[in-house]
Amino acid sequence: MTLSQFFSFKSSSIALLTALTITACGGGGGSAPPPPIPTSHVVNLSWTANREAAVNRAGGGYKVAISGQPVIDVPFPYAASGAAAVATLMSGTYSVTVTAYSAMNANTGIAASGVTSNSVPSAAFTITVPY
Amino acid sequence: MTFHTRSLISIILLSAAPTLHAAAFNAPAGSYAPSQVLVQFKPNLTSAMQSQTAQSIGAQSIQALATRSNWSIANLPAGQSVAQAVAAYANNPNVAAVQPNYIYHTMAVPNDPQYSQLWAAKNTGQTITAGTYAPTTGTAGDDMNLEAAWNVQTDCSSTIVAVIDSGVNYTSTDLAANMWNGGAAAPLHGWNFVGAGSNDPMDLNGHGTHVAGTIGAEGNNTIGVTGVCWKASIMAVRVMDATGAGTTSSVIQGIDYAITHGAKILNMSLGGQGPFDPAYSAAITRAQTSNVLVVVAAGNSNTNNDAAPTYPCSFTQPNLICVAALDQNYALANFSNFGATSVDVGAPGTNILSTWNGLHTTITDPLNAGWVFSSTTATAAAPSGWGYDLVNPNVMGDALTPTGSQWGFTKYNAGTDDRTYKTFNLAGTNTNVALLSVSAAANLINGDFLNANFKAIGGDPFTAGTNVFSGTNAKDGFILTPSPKFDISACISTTCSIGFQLTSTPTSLRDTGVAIANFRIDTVTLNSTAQNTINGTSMATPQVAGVAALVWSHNPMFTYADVANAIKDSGRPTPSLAGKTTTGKAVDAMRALSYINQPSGLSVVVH
Repeated sequence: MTLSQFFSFKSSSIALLTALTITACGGGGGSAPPPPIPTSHVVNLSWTANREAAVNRAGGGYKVAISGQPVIDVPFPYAASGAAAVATLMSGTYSVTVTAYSAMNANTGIAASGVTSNSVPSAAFTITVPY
Repeated sequence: MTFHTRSLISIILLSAAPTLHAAAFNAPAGSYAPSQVLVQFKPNLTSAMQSQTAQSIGAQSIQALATRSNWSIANLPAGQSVAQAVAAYANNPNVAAVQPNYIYHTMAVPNDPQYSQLWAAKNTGQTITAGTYAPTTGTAGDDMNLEAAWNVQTDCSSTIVAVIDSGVNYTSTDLAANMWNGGAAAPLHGWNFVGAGSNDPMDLNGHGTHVAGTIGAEGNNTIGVTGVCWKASIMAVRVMDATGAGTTSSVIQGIDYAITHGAKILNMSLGGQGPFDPAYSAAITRAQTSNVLVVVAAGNSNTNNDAAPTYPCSFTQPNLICVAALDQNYALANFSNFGATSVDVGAPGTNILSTWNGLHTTITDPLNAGWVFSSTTATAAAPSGWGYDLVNPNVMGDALTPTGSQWGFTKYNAGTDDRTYKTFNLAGTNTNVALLSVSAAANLINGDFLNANFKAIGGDPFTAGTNVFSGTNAKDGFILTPSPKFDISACISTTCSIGFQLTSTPTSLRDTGVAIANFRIDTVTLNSTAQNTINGTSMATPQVAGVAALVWSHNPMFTYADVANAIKDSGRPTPSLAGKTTTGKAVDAMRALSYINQPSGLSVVVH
């Protein structure tokens, strides 16, 4: 790994590399460095609120899909934070999309007949949760 | 809102309806029975055990629906909400599934007596009795799905739609209640930008009234037809005259007026194949910056707008939706323009019944009797002047032979003034408008003229009359065709004389003169009850403008882009539009209403 690559890491990664260096100097042996220890982080997600009336009334909401995680349902009524969700994620890289939904049936117009309307998922957003 | 045949029925879709458990229960109140849930008990549970289970959750009673399904209606105790009951049953080990007892409705059908003729709203394969475009029958289901949409939204009155057209007959009994309230500044619901302009946008053509009716003829009022919107706010912006013609200046003034006075949607069922018009384009851009959606017609030439631009359709602003016309089988109408990069969607545009501005009548003349002829030079030796063509019926010509046999074989005289005229009664039915159309084939030396004049008090119209046309320098060509028409409304009287004059210079090299054919006067007597069934992308455009008004009224926070996305992205894929439009889709009102824009602006903060 080049020096420039080191500097592109977040601060926690830089600290870990420093520790690795110290271990190598003191040990003098061939043992592999211990893997980084995943840590848990609170992640706040937010997005631009949809303007559809049906998304902003009972039966409407958002589904937040985070790779490898259960889908988070954010039903109306929304918290004061608006179009937002909170997740607790372990260190790693995740892909996130948000889909809006309503209870309006696209075939009949009758709400809540068991068929809801959904948006196309948002553009995927990649997040890196540090160690 | 009262629907004509609205009734409530409860339907249990045991196999089709997905089961909802407490975590997923978020249906809006009113969409389900408020004091019941449907419970499916696990197999082999006896009736007694079912009752015991229900009683443990507080049910007042249960009623089995079908012995083989294990579904029962559980009647909830006072104070227990459906959501609470769904949660409680879902957690009971004896329950396989539970859901609200949803309420379904019949589709919203207005009581307007001509509703069954509105195939764009509900295509049952019916015959459109006054249809002139073949076929006059179609395919059931090839429609805009309006009855479903009307379950959600019928009132567009919060969204002002400007009909930028020939005006609107705001006295129509099917439109009067849905006209924009312009207050004291615009007491007649809009403005007139034709000629000197005025505050009266009355429609002297019919086109704009037809368009307005498709958008917002009052629905469910037991009169005539219904628009896409049952309630509406229609601003009448007159930019085209009685003949259906307008100019850049009148159109852009109309656009700016509509924007300034609060219109959110502009319907522009007009267009022309001319060069790019920068002033026109700038007006569309001003609409965009004002968050105004513009819905325009593709054109009726059966041509490709990508190859031969037609404006405004071929403007590229994102607030523009260009509409092609579909027939009753959702084939592209044979007159409709198209364009894979310029035309966006299709909508019904053939055999469209809507409001009209009044009674239209036609006066034709066989050109074989009653015309007065005169010539300043004609002699037996040197014939010149007008006469009836005895070889070609219904043709009257100048420079006929002395025996009046056939136009085109004798030359008119130099230095002549040949006149003919006839008197017509145009005042028989309180006529409001009179339009003259005529064909004129001509062989005229440059500097020799054909003139057409009228005179309301009768007599020679070339003496103190009014000129409507002058043409010169033609060889084997038509210098007049039945279109355009000439507005001769100033001649409305019992003694309207209309005439033609051929003049030549004293040194004229002379030619064979002029033949007149297809003489016709169209009159309009305005009334408040007229309807008409006509064809055109002009008729498809207001279908889309109406859907846009439904969508915007239902979603008042929308931007023009949201409305445009909803209409274009949600449409019904239609084979006849594939490769012919940007979307390949026909507008579907219900899909547009239920469309949800893609979420955006996602951001993340990691703590």
